[in-house]
Amino acid sequence: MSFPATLKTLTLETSSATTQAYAALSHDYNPLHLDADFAATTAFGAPIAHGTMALNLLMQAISETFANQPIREHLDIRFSAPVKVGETILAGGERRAGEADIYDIWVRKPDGTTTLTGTLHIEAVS
Amino acid sequence: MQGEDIWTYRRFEPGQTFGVVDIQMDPIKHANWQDIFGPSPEETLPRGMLVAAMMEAYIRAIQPRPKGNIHAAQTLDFTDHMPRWGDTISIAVSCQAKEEKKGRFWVDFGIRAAVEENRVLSGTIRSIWAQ
Repeated sequence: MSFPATLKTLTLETSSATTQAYAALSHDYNPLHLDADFAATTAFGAPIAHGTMALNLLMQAISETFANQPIREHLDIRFSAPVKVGETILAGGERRAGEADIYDIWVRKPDGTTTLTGTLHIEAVS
Repeated sequence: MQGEDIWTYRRFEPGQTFGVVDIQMDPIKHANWQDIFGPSPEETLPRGMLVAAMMEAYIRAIQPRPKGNIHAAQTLDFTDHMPRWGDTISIAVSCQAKEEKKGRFWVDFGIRAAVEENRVLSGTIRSIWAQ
């Protein structure tokens, strides 16, 4: 099994509606995401999107790249910058030079700010 | 709610378990997923939905909690067992480690998700606990 050089890049426009939907989906009603008054008292200054919503956009990019192929996925990521609700994010990745099955993965804003970074190891299942 | 009931950093101990949370991948979750990420066929649960379920289990298992915790990092190991919409995911939550560093309270939570006897996901949520 050979792996492509890049993952499919996906885009998501975050909004109050997507944040509310993701809060319901994940049961994560942390006021950092939903309460503008509370978020204004924090270092973020405004509501931020759920980190795992960005992670899940990346999961979708991985799924669409390896559609219908039997694989195991191993991810190690960190959330490197917040995404304010209303901002757009892009998720994707590139296969690491010299590696057959390891990708450097990311979620970024259109201005290039990286909000999530990490590695993906794909293991083919025979 | 009594203040002493809140899960504060000092109450966590490595090895501590918080039980198993069962979460059904029901039509409401399916609709919410599609509202955000687009169409998802009935026969295959997106792996990202396991991530969302992991968060739900982590949040429901450890309550009440202080406001303002930060999800800082994450590891995820998916098996090749593919759940379907309609399945019930059983997710065990534990405390793996804790560390106070530069005035921040770092806690690692272990997650293990299974459908019946089939493990589908394990991983670690690395959090900065608010207090």
